[in-house]
Amino acid sequence: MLEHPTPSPARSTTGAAGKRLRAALAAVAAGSALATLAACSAPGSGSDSGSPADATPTAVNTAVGDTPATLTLFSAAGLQAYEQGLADAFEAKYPKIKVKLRVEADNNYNTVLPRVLASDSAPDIVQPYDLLGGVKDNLLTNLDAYDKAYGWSSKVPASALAPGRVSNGVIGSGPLYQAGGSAGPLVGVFYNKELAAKVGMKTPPASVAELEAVMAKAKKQGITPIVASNQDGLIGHLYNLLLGDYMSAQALSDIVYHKPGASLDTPEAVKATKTLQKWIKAGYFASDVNAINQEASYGQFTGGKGLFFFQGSWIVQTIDKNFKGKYGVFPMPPAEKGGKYAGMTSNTLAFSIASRSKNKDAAALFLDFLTTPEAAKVAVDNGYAALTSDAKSAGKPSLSGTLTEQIQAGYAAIAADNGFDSWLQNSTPEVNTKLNQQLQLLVSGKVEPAAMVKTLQTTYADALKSS
Amino acid sequence: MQLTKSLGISRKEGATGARNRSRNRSRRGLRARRWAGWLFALPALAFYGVFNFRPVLLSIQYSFYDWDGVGASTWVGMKNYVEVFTDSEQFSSLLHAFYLILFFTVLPVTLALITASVLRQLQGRFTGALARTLLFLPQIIPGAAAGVAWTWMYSDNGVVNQLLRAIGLDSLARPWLADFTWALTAVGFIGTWLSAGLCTMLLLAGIGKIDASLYEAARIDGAGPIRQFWSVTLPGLRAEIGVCVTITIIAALASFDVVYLATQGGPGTQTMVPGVAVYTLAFNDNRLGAASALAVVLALIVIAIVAPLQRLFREK
Repeated sequence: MLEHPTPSPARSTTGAAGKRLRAALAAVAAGSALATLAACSAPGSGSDSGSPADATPTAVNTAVGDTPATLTLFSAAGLQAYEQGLADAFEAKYPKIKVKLRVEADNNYNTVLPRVLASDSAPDIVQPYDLLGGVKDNLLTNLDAYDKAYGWSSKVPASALAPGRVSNGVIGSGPLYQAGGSAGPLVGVFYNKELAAKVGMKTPPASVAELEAVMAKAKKQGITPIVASNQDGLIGHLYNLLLGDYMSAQALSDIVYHKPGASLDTPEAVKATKTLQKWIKAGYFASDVNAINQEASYGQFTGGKGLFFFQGSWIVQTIDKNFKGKYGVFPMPPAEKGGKYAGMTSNTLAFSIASRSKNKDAAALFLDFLTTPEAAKVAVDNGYAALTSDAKSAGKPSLSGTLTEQIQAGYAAIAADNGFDSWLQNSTPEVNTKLNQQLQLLVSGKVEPAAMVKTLQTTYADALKSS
Repeated sequence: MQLTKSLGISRKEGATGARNRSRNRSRRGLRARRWAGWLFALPALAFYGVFNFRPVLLSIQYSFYDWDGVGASTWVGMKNYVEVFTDSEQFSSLLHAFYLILFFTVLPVTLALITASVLRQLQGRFTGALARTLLFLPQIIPGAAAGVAWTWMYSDNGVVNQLLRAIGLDSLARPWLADFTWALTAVGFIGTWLSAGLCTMLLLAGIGKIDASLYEAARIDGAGPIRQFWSVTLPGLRAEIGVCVTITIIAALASFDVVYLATQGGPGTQTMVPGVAVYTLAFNDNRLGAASALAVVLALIVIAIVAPLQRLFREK
């Protein structure tokens, strides 16, 4: 880039003629470069791919438990302990098959996943973040043949497998691409027990208004009501809970799953956004929440810097172990008292098989293992909830009981109301980027709820049009 | 004594011998030697071609497509380029990059000129060495680490606000990186801190090269320190200032690590710079085409600015 500041003698002797020659050479080079470009095939046309991907196997073998094999599971660092637990439990049951974890940093996981799946050294088992994109690009295996062979559809609740089905770019029905058992995080309201006692919260708030009353009380006592991180847009958890409350879980899921006609630009979504705006304006968040990232927010919560923490129960895996017993969780209360519970979850016991995997049969055995009680136990031990028979009797959400019991109870309450939905961020990657920005604008008071909802809907519609 | 003398002679003879021989076969050898040079450069050129030139060409190619990075792509002509200039987010990121030049280039080079001139007086003393070390320290810290460290210093209870409150400027204290108005400026100061040290070192080296007799002559003619600065130091540093300005302008326009770690472009898109926008478009939104178009535009802007600067700062 940097030219030598003193002119070299060679150059000064060539003079004008040399300049002309160089220009001509440059023109030729540019011309040939363009010609090369034109001759190149369009990117992604498959010319550079190595081994062919078999996305729809038909002849499958389920008797592979005694055949030595090594499976690679692509894991995000935050889930490493949990997924290692699954791998260990699987190896205990099938000692001939090894499951190796390939771990990627949390914030890189989504970014590298499509590229890793498209590479020659693709892992065998993954939890895809962009299921629709993965199916569209032929990166994931159609599991229908395995489903038939193992009978997953008859042993696993239909609602647990539906988010793994894709047909014509819509999630919810059609061929199965992600399968396993049924367990998921409870995304809800984590609370600091000591501070909750200070503000006199004795039962879980039964409506958004009651939750608001507790926060107002905390604010008055000089306690920051909500710990959150929004440099990474994670106020989004709270925002999604409010959206589910006001729009209904079904309406929110329809958007995430690309159901034709689904729209975010509704009065209910605006109402949810206005509620969040009201809390921002009331000073329920720390003033620098836009500059806080998730790691820092964990520290603030365990450091007693705030009462509530709207997060998913995966945090129990990373949060400071010394804080154990000092915090609890209840599900996000319904919009109105006696209304329906709603909350996001994802099936953490369901995985996909890469279409480039060379061990599809063994990988399917791993998926089948996920439907067993042993796998469900690993999930529960890691802060997830599973709808096992004893979870049904978990009882109503309360502020007593262990954290695990509270997670099970909250999850059961949402399940009873058929209230599971998903994150708006998961609808399209563009919405994910836009939502983070819009939430930061909302915190800074630079966007009004109606405009924010319109912007998000436009981003969503544009993304659907181009895909 | 005897020995060294004879050695010296023999060496001289050897050199002339070689020159004579080379002259004898120069006609034939010139052409061969020219190609031999290229042969030696070949490994490096191959690497350059595969890892620099090819990606550049590929980026140019991608910029004309709508492509998610994995699946099939569609030719969209200039659409991605039109978007760079019509999409407010992408266009404002370019403007932010220009604003950063103020903090990455103008401020550090000015500061460096002042400190370098002052340090010249301290040269050789312990304080001079200490000052040079301290000033250069930011340069050995990776931008990424600096980005993280500065997020702590800028936070609501961070060092910056503690200092402001300690001297009674409570009204100025704010969560800098979360502040809509001040975030970009705050990020810019991280850049100042990072590049001031490098510029100071470069300029100090340059000052060392200036003939001391020039300063002496100026002093005898009655020039004070300020007059010496304008008439001797500044003209003598022309080339070094050129290097500083070039490096830091590229750092400003192509900034990524500091911004990505400090703010990821937020709040909203207040600190979005082309580097982060390219990353987001390519790897979050999976829009390789749009990302490539923005990257190509950025590269052209960098060339358009840096090339004339090279002429401007070339020594006469």
